[in-house]
Amino acid sequence: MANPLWLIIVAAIGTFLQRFIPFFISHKTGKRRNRNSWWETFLEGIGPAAIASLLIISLSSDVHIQSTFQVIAVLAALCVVFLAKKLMGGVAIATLLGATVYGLVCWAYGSL
Amino acid sequence: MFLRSASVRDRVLKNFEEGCFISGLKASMPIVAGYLPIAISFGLISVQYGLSPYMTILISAVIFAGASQFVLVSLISSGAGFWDPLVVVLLMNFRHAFYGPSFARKLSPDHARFPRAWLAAGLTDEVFATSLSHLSKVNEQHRETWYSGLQIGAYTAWVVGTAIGAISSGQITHLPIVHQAIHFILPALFMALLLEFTSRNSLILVFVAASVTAIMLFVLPTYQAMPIGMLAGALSMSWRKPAHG
Repeated sequence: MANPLWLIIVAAIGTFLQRFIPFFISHKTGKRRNRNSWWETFLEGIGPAAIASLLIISLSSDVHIQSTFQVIAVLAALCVVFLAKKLMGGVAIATLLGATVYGLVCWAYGSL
Repeated sequence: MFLRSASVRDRVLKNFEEGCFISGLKASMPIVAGYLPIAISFGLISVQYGLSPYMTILISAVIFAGASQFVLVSLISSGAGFWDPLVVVLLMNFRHAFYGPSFARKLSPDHARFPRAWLAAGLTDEVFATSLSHLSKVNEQHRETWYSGLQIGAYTAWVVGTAIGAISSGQITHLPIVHQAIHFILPALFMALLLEFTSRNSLILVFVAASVTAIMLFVLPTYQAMPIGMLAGALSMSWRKPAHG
């Protein structure tokens, strides 16, 4: 394609509308919500379900598990995230500690 | 005297709002750490595929949707026409349609401060997940200000990272540990958010969503496996908690 500018603009508008329209409609109907409805319970579950799915997707695409050491690195890093989150409470510190431990284990394996 | 106290009150309120904005910005730091290396990679790859740095930065600035941007530039460089890349990008980002209604439940229509279009523009996976886990701790009145800080932090990191990658064109070197660690930033972020979010009641939901996603990954691409897993998890919750109203 010689100039993809129009494709980029239309893709951007489409992506924006996918985020905007359901959000806008839900906001407009916000005051008429029935808190016990099936739809509300479903929406309540979307958040944790999305995060659980994204965790699996990110583990499969961002981390290339090719050896036992990388499995150990992933398990060690997840344990560190768990412990840091339970002991210190913050999301940021748990994230950075987990990533650092993964980096250290992989680096140690690479330098053996 | 009344005017003076009103102006002091306005100033205090304004400072509080600014505090919420900064607090949202601070909450975006794990996303920033995750986005920067990916955005730099996107900038590098896009330029290597033959797109100009200007066009590459434009894609990140107007689409702001990670994985679909990588696919878009690869399809553009392979000479695909107009409709195929468009349909693929929209299918990949279709899961975002479910984030809006869930996110809207956290905001009070009585305290609307920003245009809905502004709030929806930055609703990516990471921004959605982080906002849902934090918003209940923020005063209902200031949630939109807090969220604006969060999405501006994430958006800036994405666009600046892309610009660094597109302009530097492969001249970036990494420390070995940092190079490895950046691959684990997003899994670590999602793990931490999951722990923040998950209660005993939602353990089955998390298990269903994770298992269905993992199984679907054997037969489907990630952009199809993810929404199927997410919907299966959310449906398992609605089945277990039948409607009373």
